[in-house]
Amino acid sequence: MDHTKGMLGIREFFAIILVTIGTKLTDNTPTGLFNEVGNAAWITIIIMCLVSIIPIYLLTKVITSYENKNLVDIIYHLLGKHIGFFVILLLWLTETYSIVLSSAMYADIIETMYFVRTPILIIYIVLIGVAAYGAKKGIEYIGSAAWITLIGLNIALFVVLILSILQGRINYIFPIFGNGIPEILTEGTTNLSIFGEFLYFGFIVTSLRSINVYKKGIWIGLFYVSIVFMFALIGYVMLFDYVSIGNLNYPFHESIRYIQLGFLTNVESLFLPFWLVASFLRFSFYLYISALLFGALFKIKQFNYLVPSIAILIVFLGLIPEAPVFSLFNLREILVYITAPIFLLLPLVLWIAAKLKGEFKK
Amino acid sequence: MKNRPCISHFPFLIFVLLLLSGCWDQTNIDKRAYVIAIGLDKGEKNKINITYLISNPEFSKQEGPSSEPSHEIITFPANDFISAKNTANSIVAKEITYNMLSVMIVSEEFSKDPEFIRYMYDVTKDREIKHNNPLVVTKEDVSTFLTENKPKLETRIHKYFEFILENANKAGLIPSFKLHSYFSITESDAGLFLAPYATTQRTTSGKYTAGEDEFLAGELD
Repeated sequence: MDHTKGMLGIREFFAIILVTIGTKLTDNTPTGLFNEVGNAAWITIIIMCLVSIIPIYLLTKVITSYENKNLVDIIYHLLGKHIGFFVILLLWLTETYSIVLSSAMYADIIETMYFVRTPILIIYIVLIGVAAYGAKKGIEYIGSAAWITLIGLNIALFVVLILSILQGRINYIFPIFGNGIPEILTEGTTNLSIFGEFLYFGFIVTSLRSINVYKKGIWIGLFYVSIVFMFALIGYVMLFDYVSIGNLNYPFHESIRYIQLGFLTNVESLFLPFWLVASFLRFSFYLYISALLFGALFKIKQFNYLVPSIAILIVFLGLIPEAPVFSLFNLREILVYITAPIFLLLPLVLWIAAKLKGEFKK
Repeated sequence: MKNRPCISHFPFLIFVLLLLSGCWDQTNIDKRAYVIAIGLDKGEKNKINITYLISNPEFSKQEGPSSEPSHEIITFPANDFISAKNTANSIVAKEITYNMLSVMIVSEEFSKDPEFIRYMYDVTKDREIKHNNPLVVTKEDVSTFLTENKPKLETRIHKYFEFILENANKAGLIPSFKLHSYFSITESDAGLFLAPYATTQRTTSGKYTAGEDEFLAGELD
């Protein structure tokens, strides 16, 4: 038997990166950007990509200098037992908070855009139930499922993007800097949380086939996701113009309702399954990471068994916000301001600690 | 013997088919009334008059029409056209749906009203109204327009608007602007939205336009 069985190769790792971060362009993340910087939102993605090179480079440097240790062990090793515990707790809290918010948002998307009469509780239970099943199965299953669906997802996404760019108007992307360069720079750095998940990929590094997979996958993933994100934002703004897009909460779903595929007019039901699969995989990965971090906090080896209880907790927490369209949008703003500094500073702190301990000399 | 688990699992897939019917959101075609055109007129005291053109789905069958009329037109006052769906149910027995909506028609008087865009914003709030529906402006009230407008050959009214708008646009008689561009043009300042203009009133002067074909390129100022 192959000893690498059950480990993630570069394909699966890349697929996970794309599914977890790429699906963000289909929820209300772009609306937040468009509200702040107008039609230059796609330039902020470039800024974000360039800024996040620094933390990702530092993180990769730290992670590659250890063999067979994931980020949890590295944090405990470098920061000590007490500070390490605090840092992991912080990461677990932000991660779980973000699952609650985004899953509530996705349930809201499904409810408002597709299944109007179905109670939100049922939609939510199905969404989290499927995701919890995937997370319970483990990261290998999430990885291979992501890889299998990756081609379909990409084709669906590119059909949507090409159609919206073809049916849009090129002059809507001008003035090219939107509300001005200072806004672009500040928004580009404060909204870094879009790429904040790159931190969490460090936790599955021991499930990867080798450290090179991590090194290569994370860079390819970062640039691919940034390019796709950029084109998606260009597509939206070309289709809707910058004023209307600020009023649309879920631009992706509005654009698949608007575009026409030749003689087919109602194409949204064609793209819905792909989007659903991507969301299931995204939440599977999130739940897996949440269980892993919780397991690391309280020294639980078999953290797979934590997934169902975390899932139930998430369903009940996510049902609390009323009028989700507005409340989730504001709650997400808080999350954005918390996770951006964590994503920027934690790799730096780890790198400095590793440098002081002389880990890189070995 | 190796294949046996696969085959024995297969019948369970049939049960998955039951899920396809859905639970809450299942709807029957014959239980809904399909609005083909919504007409908006200015009413009294900040209210609007809404006209529905409801198509008879029986007319899309191949076997030929029954004795029922091809469509029904109703006009009633309302606050907006989302709550109007429920108001209309006092006359129409079936559930009103905008799924097959193919055109929105506004009277000229109402379209000049500064409050008009406020009523139009309901379009963005109703998920059934697609943003690629055309917006047509009529000279008279929409309720008169829809009752007067009787296409002789196209009794299947849900195809009539689609065809006439498509072909008139091909001929260059009308612009092809949709609800979607109505919002993006009106919201950004200094824009002018151009909508197709329709009427059932014959103009009194039936003369030909003088010298319509006698221009060379660049001559027209």
